[in-house]
Amino acid sequence: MLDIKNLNINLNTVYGDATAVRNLSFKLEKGKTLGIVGESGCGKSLTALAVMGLLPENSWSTGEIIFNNKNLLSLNEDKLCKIRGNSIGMIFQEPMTSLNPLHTIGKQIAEPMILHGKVTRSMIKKEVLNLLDMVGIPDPLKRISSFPHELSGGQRQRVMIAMALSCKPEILIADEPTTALDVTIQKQILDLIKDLIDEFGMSMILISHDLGVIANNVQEIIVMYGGVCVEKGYTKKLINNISHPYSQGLFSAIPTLEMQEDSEQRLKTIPGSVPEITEIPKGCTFQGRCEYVSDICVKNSPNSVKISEDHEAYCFNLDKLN
Amino acid sequence: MTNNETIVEAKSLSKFYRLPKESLFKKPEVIKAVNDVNFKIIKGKSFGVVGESGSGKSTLARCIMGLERPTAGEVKINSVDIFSLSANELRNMRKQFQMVFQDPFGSLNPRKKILSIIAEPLDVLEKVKKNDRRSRVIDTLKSVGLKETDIEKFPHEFSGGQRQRIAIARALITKPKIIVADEPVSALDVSVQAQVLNLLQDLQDSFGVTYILISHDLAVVKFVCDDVIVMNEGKIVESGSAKEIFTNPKHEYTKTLLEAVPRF
Ligand SMILES: Nc1ncnc2c1ncn2[C@@H]1O[C@H](COP(=O)(O)OP(=O)(O)OP(=O)(O)O)[C@@H](O)[C@H]1O
Ligand SMILES: Nc1ncnc2c1ncn2[C@@H]1O[C@H](COP(=O)(O)OP(=O)(O)OP(=O)(O)O)[C@@H](O)[C@H]1O
Ligand SMILES: [Mg+2]
Ligand SMILES: [Mg+2]
Repeated sequence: MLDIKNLNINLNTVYGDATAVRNLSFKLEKGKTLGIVGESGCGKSLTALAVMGLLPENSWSTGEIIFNNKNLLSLNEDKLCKIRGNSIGMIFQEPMTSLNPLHTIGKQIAEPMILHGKVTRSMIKKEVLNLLDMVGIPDPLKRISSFPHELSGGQRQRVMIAMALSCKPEILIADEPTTALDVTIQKQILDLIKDLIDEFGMSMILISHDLGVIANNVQEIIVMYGGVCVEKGYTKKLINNISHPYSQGLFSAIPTLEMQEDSEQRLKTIPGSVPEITEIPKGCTFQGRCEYVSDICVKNSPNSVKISEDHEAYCFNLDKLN
Repeated sequence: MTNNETIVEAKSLSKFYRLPKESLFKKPEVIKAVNDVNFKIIKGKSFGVVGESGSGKSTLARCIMGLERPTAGEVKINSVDIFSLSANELRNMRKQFQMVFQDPFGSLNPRKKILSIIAEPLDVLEKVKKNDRRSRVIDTLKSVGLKETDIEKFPHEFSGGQRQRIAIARALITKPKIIVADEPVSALDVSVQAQVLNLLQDLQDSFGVTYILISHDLAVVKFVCDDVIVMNEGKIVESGSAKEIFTNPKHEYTKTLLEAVPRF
């Protein structure tokens, strides 16, 4: 249903042009779920914005994003508007910037449904109340005429979620949908999304840095680093055999509730930091921080190496790793 | 350096909000965002606030920071009730604390470059020379995993997690005595999160900073905090040492929270 082929996203920055996302390809079928994880700044949100046709002005992209046999990258704004919020819904990473401070939340949730002709005027209030209730806003009737600044961080995020789900999209793109939510509400929201997937065959791209959330909610995972995919696979296979050195570092940095109580304790980190997008090196993007780095990593970009059926990693040194 | 000296104290603290009226003739509905809350925070320790979304955590933080006047009760910093101070005295008092806001993008001025955004508290609170100013901004930026070259950019050129780190850098630059951090690491991927949490601990070890950390991530709170309160509907339902609360939760709500943590 969604087929992304060799997507490149280029940005014009103060330090010159840079490629923020490079040769990214993946497929998402109806009713399926895919997770994207990776370090802050690796290109996850830009990828999502590209699918929505909402890339920033200083950017341009190449490749193809095929949705229901149309290449979204070549559609004009009018056609994109019909798809955006209707067939493809998105939960944005930053609720406060995506909500209009001057309108009540009720009005904002109603807007996409009216725009895409999903409900009649007379039913609209009932539908909005229903959505508010579904995402766990207490006392929807009292809250429907609140303004965004009158809500807590997590309540705003839930208003965004209600908006994204209102038109029952075919694909939901959820960019860090539950970061501002405590675990109990997070679970409620993720269960709600699961129901929509089961009931309407909705597909989902879930972007999160919370590996627990990803592992429990998607069928397939893409790990990105420096704008490229470094590892990809079915969730169970990938989690049970984390292969790329970056993925290994990522998964060992998680604080857990089971950790020892010890005030001297430090969390593991991956030494160094992500390269600036204008300074992403030739060859493997992770070379600067990888303990297994060798000459070839600097010269060439690694190709896909099959770890097992439906699980691949992009690394020259996989044999040294295990 | 600490001998259990109280630095922040909340006494019967309450903050109520009125909701927009449904009709002109109905009595306005009131939300009890913070409802009769009491606690003490020990100097040089980390104090965690956890609880469901909407339970009053951010409201509590704004009251402690003196950004909002409570409906009732007191906030004492070093035994002084901050709401009895004059505007000027309060401003002086505020020098000692900084806040990292929950919504990083909303709190960064879109028209300013990162250099002036991060230097802002320095400009307000200390008179520093231009060169020092720049090098302190760069040092702080690096400590949160960003780069020297980033100082010339604008907020919209950063990803969500990068913006959050800018907000953290701005809070750290004046080396405040108290830092109130509202979900400071929630938008960060785990490896950067680890970097920032380690940095927070280092600052505490070297400067005796007191933290008030609001987070819905229980593992993070457990890692960072000494004492914890659990809030539900504006009230504290459980309080105690982090160790106690996480290994032996008493309140039903705390138990539910601990059970809902996703694992793999
Ligand atoms: N408008 C822009 N101009 C210049 N650079 C940009 C712009 N938008 C994003 N970038 C840069 O592109 C890179 C990828 O950004 P993106 O928002 O996709 O990251 P992300 O993976 O979503 O990170 P996070 O987890 O922190 O949200 C980052 O290094 C960011 O600084
Ligand atoms: N300015 C305001 N006007 C009216 N109600 C408000 C206002 N600010 C907060 N509230 C309400 O007060 C309650 C507590 O909000 P607060 O922001 O303190 O919650 P929180 O615990 O920080 O939640 P979250 O984890 O979602 O950020 C919520 O029900 C919220 O809607
Ligand atoms: Mg992002
Ligand atoms: Mg809050």
